[in-house]
Amino acid sequence: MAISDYFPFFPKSPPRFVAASGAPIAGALARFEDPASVYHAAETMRDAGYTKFDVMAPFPIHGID
Amino acid sequence: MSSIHPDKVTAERLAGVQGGPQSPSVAGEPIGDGTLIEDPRVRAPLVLNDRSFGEVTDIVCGYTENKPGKWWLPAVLLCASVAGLLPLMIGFLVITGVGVWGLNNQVNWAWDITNFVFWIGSGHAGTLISAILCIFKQNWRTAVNRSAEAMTIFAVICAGIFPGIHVGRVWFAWFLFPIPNYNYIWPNFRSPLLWDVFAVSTYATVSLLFWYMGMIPDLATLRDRADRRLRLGTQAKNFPFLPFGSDHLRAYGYGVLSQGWRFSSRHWIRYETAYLLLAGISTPLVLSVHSIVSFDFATSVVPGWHTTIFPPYFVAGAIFGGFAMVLLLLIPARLLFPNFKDFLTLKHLETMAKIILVTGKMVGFAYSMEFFIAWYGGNAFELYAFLGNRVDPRLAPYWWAYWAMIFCNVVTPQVFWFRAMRTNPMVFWIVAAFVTGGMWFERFVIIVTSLHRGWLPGEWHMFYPTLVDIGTFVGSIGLFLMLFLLFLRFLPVFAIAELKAVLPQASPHPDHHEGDHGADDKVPHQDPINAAKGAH
Repeated sequence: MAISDYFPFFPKSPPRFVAASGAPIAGALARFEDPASVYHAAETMRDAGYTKFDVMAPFPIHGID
Repeated sequence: MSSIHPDKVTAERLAGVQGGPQSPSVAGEPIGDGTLIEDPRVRAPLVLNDRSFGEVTDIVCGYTENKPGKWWLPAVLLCASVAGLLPLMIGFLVITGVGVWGLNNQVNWAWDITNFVFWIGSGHAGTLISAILCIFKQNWRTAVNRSAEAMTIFAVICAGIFPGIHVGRVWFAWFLFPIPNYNYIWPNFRSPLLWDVFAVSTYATVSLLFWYMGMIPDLATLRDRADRRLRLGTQAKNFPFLPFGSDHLRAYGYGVLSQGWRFSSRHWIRYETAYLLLAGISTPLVLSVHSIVSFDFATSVVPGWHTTIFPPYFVAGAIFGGFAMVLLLLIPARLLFPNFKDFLTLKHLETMAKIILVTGKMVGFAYSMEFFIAWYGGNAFELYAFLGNRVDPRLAPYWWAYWAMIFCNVVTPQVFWFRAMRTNPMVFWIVAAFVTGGMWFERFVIIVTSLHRGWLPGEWHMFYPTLVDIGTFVGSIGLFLMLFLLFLRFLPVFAIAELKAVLPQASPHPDHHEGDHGADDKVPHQDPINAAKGAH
């Protein structure tokens, strides 16, 4: 949430990521079919330096923390 | 949590046998539904028919989302009308006085306390399964933990009724609690009856928290499924004359109950920590609650009650009777609900049969030890309380209750020495029914036969239950069954998330031989040198 969302007269900073259509990108979702691939994807994300990501799973995947 | 193995080939490979397919003799021929594998190196599958995650969700949620079988509504109506006896009988008791029970000057505790101890004991399997088996990482608990915990709650509800109403003047029942008051009337803190209030209320609180907290992810699953149907427009039809349908109720009801659960890994970490903490809190409760119930008797000076063996004897009996109660209700559920057998396999039944056999032998040992100590202690009154009040048909008018107890609790579980009996649900159900009845008789024998003959023969009185006694007990059974039937219909009967976590495909490291979570990977499985280098 940027401050300009609450106060529309503030100048808006340009979005950091823009899709081909011009719409701003807030985040990305990916869907995985099995725990091993989501585990490795999370590892890759962590090693790439991302911190603001989360893994939704229907049961606790041990070691993903 | 170690992974389980879906098929024989994988099972053999993971059991340490090198290479591909091995000779079938290694694992032995599976018996029954395929979970009874003779080879101890092979873990039986906890869920049958290679269910996928989606199928597990569909099956368990289907119990609440689809229409129940035709048996459900008549069954719940019958149980509800039987449960209706309870307020009638209690109302009659409150209006008239405890004289409507068969109590007399000598036998001043009878069916009321028998039922209290019986119901408290019946709940113990749930706590044992959820707490101790969780700490010991017994994965088979996933099949029964939710329903056993539900039984714990319902049994405590039934149990809590009896001490409240047996005080006679029910409007003074608040005297049970140490509440500050202007008359400076306090309960006697040295009385085990007060400890009982603390023990049972702690037990009820912790069991309820445990049950509810464990259900949050599954309630969220039900919420999301209802919400999805609403968004897709495939929801159930609206109720007549109302602008909403059952899926609206589900989305909002389960939504409120699931407290904003989003299945995030951050949630799961907290969830698992909280679960483990609650398991740690409940573990002493498994032992303490029935120990304190036994103190109600053991700290008195009544012959037959005043024994040191009572706490372990009561705890073993509670777990014994509790498992019998779990099976008494779940074996019919296996038949009545579709695919229930995939989650509650014969292997689970066999494991519980072994627990019943072991705890039954503990109870049998306690029965014989009571005799030994009565003889060895040289207390003539105590020996007479056993021989003259209970055992000898020539002297004891209650001999039939004693021998019914021995037959039900000590003799019938012995059939479980035979594997064919352990794996036969019909036999199992009959034994469970006998044990449940036997455990009721045990409490009756302990309470009534010890009390009905005081120190002076002039005080001796028999106890005869009245219709109100019987009606109150039957009503509490109806209440218990009604609550359980409602639970089967409206709440997730199995712990969906836990079932999924024990499926073989839940392992994030399917290539590893045993490790299925990161912490274990530090333990070398095969090659200690590579593991020490941090090969993971």
